Amino acid sequence: MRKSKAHNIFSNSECLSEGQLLRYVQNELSNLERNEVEQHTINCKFCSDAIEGFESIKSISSYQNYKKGFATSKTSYLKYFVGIAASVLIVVLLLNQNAHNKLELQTDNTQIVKTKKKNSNLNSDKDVLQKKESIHKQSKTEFETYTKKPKPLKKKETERLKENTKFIEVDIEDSTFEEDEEEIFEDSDHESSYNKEFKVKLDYEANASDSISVISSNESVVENEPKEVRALNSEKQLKEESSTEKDEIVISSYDLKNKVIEEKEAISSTPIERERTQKTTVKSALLKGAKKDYKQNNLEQGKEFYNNHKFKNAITVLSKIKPSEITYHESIYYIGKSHQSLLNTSKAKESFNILIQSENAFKKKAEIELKKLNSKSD
Amino acid sequence: MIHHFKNGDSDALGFLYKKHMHLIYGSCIKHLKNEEKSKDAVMEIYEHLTKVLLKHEVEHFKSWLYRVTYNHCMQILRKEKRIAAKDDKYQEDTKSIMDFSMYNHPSIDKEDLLVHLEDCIQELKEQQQNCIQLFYLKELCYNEIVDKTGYALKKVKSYIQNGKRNLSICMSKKNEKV
Repeated sequence: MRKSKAHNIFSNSECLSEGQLLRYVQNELSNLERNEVEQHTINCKFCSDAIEGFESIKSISSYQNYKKGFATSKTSYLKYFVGIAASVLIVVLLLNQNAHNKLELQTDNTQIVKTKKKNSNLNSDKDVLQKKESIHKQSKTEFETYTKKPKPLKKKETERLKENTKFIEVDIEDSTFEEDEEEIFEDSDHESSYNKEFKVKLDYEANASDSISVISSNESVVENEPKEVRALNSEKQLKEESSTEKDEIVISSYDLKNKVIEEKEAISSTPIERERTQKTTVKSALLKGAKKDYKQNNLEQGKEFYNNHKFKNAITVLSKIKPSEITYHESIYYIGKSHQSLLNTSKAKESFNILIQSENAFKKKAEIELKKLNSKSD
Repeated sequence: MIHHFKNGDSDALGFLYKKHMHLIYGSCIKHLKNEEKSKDAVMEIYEHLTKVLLKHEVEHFKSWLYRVTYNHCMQILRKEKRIAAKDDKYQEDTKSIMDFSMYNHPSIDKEDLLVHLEDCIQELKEQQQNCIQLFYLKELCYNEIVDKTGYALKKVKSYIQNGKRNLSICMSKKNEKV
């Protein structure tokens, strides 16, 4: 007995766990446990410094709060940047896609849109067709000028453009944020609805550029303000036409009506609402971070149980760690130690033998423990 | 875990860091003597690790981490121009790190060296012998040794540390003779 204890003088022990250290500082350990900690600190400057540091502060609660904050701030910080990078990519892709889809949408609109003639001057179908064609041509030329050849703008137009770009920037920020949320939930339904909403937003701009006065089936007028400078001329022309012809274009398609309502909702969302959604996103991010931490902390939890002498709990928690995980060998070591404490020497030996069979950081320790077990059994 | 981090698993470093955070935080408090500064230092050291670990090979993570923590604290103190008065004290500390770091100096755990242990204990000075026996063989904590011997706490720590060093020297000498 004396000889085995003498071994302790030059044996290495593992650094103090957080629980061990804090309980030592708070004087919650038994004398034997204190001796174990002190024997280690004689060898380890890191742990003895940490103990000195903790002994010099009044309460450890500020450290515990800080550690919680550290974990979440670190994950949210990373997610923030990853989210921004991903959303910027998606926005760029969507903008490109939208540019292609825009013309197709215009043709679809003209097919769906039916005209109600209130003015007697426009009775024949020929006139209606001519009007549709003119709108289509206008939108096409506007699109081309917008995407390919930007013409020099007048003073008023440039001012308007500035306003509109501000609006678009705000939209992109919002969509960036929504994209973060989407990434967190990893929900395909949410993703599709988001894409839909975003597309509708862009479609809204396209529609606005065409300055189509939209009237829903229950006769409520939804007039959209033009959002691009390219739409300015067409708007004026159309207003003139509509004033002379007094023609109103009715969208009968249910889908289009819904889209318009969604557009309105998306655009009219107040900063307070945006802030609320932001808060919920942050909450969900924290929750996810906590879940991830919990998974990672199987080892720490197991060690905590082990330090609290709840060996059976320690074994069940540590057994959850799979061989593919980086903490596997450490978990096996603590499972062995727990069996050892429960006097299940055969199981303890099994665990230590696993560690001995492969190259890992706990091989030496396992060998020492096995030696101890064998000497006891002898 | 460092290997995992270098292979692109950013969570591995976070996990590893969290495991040692109490030691880093405590050490920072010891050197900086300020909780808020220590919190900042812990965050800065983490950021530092994310860069440095990608460039350097680290063999003994704990002793290396202690060195990084210590150097960072010294850097902060130097910035605050408080270092001059403490230079002597920290030089002493550095020496003790080299003496006691089990990572820098592999500990003596070979059976052949331990053969002479009992003889060497008998050769120690009385106070050192008492403290070593109570601390290692009877497994009493510092407070109990203080109560039993009447020595001051600092003295007890010093007797144990010096006694251990003398034991190591004695055993090495005897082993060389053999």
